[in-house]
Amino acid sequence: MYLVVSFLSYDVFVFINSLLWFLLFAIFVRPFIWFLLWPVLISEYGGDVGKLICGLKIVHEDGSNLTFKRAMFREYIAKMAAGALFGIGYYWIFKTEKKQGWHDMLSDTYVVKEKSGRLFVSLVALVVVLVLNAGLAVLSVRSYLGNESLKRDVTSILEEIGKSSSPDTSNKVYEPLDLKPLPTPPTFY
Amino acid sequence: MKADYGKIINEAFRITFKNKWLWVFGLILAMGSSGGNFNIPDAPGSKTKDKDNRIETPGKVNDVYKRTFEDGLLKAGSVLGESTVSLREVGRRIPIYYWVVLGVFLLIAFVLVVGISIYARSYAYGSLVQGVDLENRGITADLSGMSKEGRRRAVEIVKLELLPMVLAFVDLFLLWVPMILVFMSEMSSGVKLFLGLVLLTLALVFLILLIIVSVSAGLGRIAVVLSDLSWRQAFKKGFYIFKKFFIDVVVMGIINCFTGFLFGLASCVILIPFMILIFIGIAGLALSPYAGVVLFPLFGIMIVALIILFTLISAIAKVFMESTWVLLYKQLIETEVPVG
Repeated sequence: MYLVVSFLSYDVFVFINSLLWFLLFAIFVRPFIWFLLWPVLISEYGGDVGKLICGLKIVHEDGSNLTFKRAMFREYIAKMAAGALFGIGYYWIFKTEKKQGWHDMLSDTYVVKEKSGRLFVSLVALVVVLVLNAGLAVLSVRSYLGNESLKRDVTSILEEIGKSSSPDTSNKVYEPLDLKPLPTPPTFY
Repeated sequence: MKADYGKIINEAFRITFKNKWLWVFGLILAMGSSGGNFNIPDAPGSKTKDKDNRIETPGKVNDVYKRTFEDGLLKAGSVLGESTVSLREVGRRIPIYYWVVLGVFLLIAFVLVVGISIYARSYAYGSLVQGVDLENRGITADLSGMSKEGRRRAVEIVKLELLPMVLAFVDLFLLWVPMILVFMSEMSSGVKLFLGLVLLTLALVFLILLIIVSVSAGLGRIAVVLSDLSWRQAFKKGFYIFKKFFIDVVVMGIINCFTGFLFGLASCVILIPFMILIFIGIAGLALSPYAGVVLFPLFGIMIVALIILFTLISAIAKVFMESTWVLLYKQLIETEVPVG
């Protein structure tokens, strides 16, 4: 959404500024929020949004909700082990009787079905998320293509960078590199 | 010498290959200690310390850098629309609080990554020590049981892990950095030599201290789990064992260095047939470009297989080495206090 708004701006400064904020948010802020949010959701409600929509719940081996600390452990350390060797630990979900992956075994947790018959709701949620994402992507492209001023500026910058990094055209546009002669080697007496 | 190394190595080998759940913790340790070994050779003209030489022997990378960033980006301003001036102006217009927010989040990310990595390693060590001990006593350890013990002991082991780390930082900032500053300063060479020698002597003393603390903390890690001790008591016990059985511990360290070398060698031996296959593939590509349709997916599969094999070998090596230390600790403790 932020990207859509930046593409609507008619000033390349505002656009680059917005893009920098977007990157900062996407690379640092969002993962940090998720880092804290997921264990909170698991400890408070028994799972993240996807699991709750599907009617699944993560519980401790005694059936209680997970503590925040255990949820953190499950999400970031136990899943590190399960994800090793291209996610071999997740394969154990299909292999064991209690449907536990390595991450569940390591943190003494189970995933249980709290509400059954949620397949239809889950599919609807999946479609909504996909449509929403696709819609935002289309909107971004359309606002960029409709913004002539921004398009011209960005294209010019890209062309300039392309020209300057291409060895074939560089001689026509720029002076050759100023290469100094090699220094004379030191003389030892 | 009190330790029976033949017995230790045989038992460690048996334990490592009998209970494969131990490998899970080996994987965590292997992932925690890998990385940072990307010694890619530098581009031509970029690995010269002399500034003049660097300019005079420009490699392709320097060339592209100069063309792109110095000539291209800085001149790009001239082709922008009427509402803009130059890209330098863009840089100037980025508000200062953007850099502040960026810095804060970089710091948070760094602290989180280091913190999680130290905790994961300590937890894996605790679990592994417990698993090896149980297996040695003839009890089959399951993943959940080992993990419980590892979680229970993780905080104490974290404190032990931090001890040599803090000492290493102190060593770096109090001795090595001043040493570099002395040599970079304008002092006379005699004073430089004197100060350099003093600092070097201190650095060597500190290095020996660091080795003693690291080994004591390593043995203390085992004591935390097997003897149910706090980190202080465990460190003292580790130091006591190191002092009393100095030769045994050093020999075990040498054996483990050699074991590490053997595991490295095994990795190289595994790599040879893969390399031969890759060369045959490249020859096939040279003969017919259409062979790429078959060869590129095969190369992909081979790379995945290599990553899996190397990670697994590294995990097994970690389990084996930790087993030898646990078994050595148990033997030395039994020598110290006779059972019954």
